Amino acid sequence: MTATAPARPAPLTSSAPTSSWRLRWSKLWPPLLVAVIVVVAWELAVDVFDVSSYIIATPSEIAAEIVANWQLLLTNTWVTTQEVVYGFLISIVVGVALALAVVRFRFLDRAIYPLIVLFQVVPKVALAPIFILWFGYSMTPKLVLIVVIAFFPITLNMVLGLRRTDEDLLLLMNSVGSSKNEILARIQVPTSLPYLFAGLRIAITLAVIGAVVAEFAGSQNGLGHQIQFASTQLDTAQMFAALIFVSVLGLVLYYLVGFVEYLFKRRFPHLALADV
Amino acid sequence: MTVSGISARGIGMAFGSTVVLDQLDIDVPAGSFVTLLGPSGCGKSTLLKILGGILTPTVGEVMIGDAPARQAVAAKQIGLVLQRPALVPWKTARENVAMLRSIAGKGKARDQAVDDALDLVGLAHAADRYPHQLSGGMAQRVSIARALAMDPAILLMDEPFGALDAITRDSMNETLASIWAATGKTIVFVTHSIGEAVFLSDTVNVMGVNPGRIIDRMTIDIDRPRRADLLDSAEFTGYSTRLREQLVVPQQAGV
Ligand SMILES: Nc1ncnc2c1ncn2[C@@H]1O[C@H](COP(=O)(O)OP(=O)(O)OP(=O)(O)O)[C@@H](O)[C@H]1O
Ligand SMILES: [Mg+2]
Repeated sequence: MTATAPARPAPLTSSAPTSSWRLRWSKLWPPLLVAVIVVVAWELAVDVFDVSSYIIATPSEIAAEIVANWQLLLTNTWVTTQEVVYGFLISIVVGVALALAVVRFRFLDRAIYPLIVLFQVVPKVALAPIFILWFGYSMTPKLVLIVVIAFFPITLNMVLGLRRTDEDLLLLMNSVGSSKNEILARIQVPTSLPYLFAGLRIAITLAVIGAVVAEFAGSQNGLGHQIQFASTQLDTAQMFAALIFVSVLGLVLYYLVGFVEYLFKRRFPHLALADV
Repeated sequence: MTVSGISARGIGMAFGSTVVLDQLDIDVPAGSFVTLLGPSGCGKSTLLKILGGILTPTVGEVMIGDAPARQAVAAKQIGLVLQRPALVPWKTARENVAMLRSIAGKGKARDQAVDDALDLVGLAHAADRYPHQLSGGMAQRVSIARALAMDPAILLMDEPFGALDAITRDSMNETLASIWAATGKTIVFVTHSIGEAVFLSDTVNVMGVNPGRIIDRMTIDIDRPRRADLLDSAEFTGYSTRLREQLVVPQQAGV
């Protein structure tokens, strides 16, 4: 983080987007080139070595599969997207609430926080079948699994941020008789927001994992279910097609969170500087 | 505003096994200007926080007026200037000054007192800047304005002018002296600078180190108002010399 950020972001001039786009392009083409080479080599290798199509599908077969099953893939993507987004939003509420509670009440800090940390040794993915057992084939077990996996980085980062407050500032607040709530709201929460965003970026990727695993464990739709189902049919091309859709979904959601963070930092540049 | 004095008895402070202050008594008469002068690390900042009731000593008692120091805090009588500016990074200078004032319930967030305080420290032009756009000295002056805007009965200042150049420092000293003369606040002022202590104080408390204690109290009987040209007078140099002897000799003996 630089200490020299200007007070207001410079207005976009006509030359700025072009140059930043060029910058992007110069960074983008090397990995893109490698990707193209890999895909071509993949296609050729499968042909040359005559690998049977249920072990690995060629890129062209996967592409054909995507075109043929476009509607089904979209439907399943929509199902998974809903699970991830709702689960992520609930994770934010749970994660932030826990962080605030732990920092605000000494008792909770001592009683609950160690348990939350200890709970992280449980391989939460293994909880999926239990949640299916409890909540059936509805959306609920997916949301529960996502929250269980994704709340922790949010809580952890927010607690860190809430505790990063300037000691002298706390002293000053105390000197005018501020209540703990007032200090929390006026000083600690704003200080913690850049940390919260770091937690959100981790949480969104975990949320996608949670959704897919929950769908593996028991579901009638969603991209995870589609991968699972295709595997029972030895339909490798369909498995890869669904895999690509999950990956793109994860990427899009990750950048969406990054974009919200960017908007936030642009709107409140001085808040973003708070931890300098 | 009833001005109160501070009286501390038998103050001892330890951080873990480190004894910072031992068996310390100090009186700050109502409406007086009292300085704590001493070498780095002797416990001046610690003592100042204890006197303001925002740090509880390990042993001993601090009274402000007739009540325990905590009550003066609850009554929002304490204005604090710490050694570091400790500004809120996401608020402008003006918002920083206004925040504590409004929390203390001493007026609306944006009123004249806020701008007056900034004007007093010579920062009216920088009111809308954010802390990272201020120099160290400017940030410290914002923190002084923040304390002044609270209009506290007791002003506790920890090396407030330490980060300023000599010229600004002299003019801030004069400003502070005139604020004190006009408002009759009780001021406790921490400094490394002997000249500053003599110029401003009614009483200078010289502190010794290991453990922190008061080794001498000197009353400065120079007429007020004191002007900058005082600095060259024999009277002024006399006090300075005696204070310097106090500070240097015991330290050499201790080493
Ligand atoms: N919170 C703390 N925990 C542990 N030790 C502390 C703490 N605060 C102060 N001390 C110690 O107490 C001693 C006195 O510190 P203090 O800040 O009061 O000194 P000072 O006289 O203000 O020094 P300076 O002139 O350099 O500001 C130092 O040795 C310091 O290390
Ligand atoms: Mg100090």
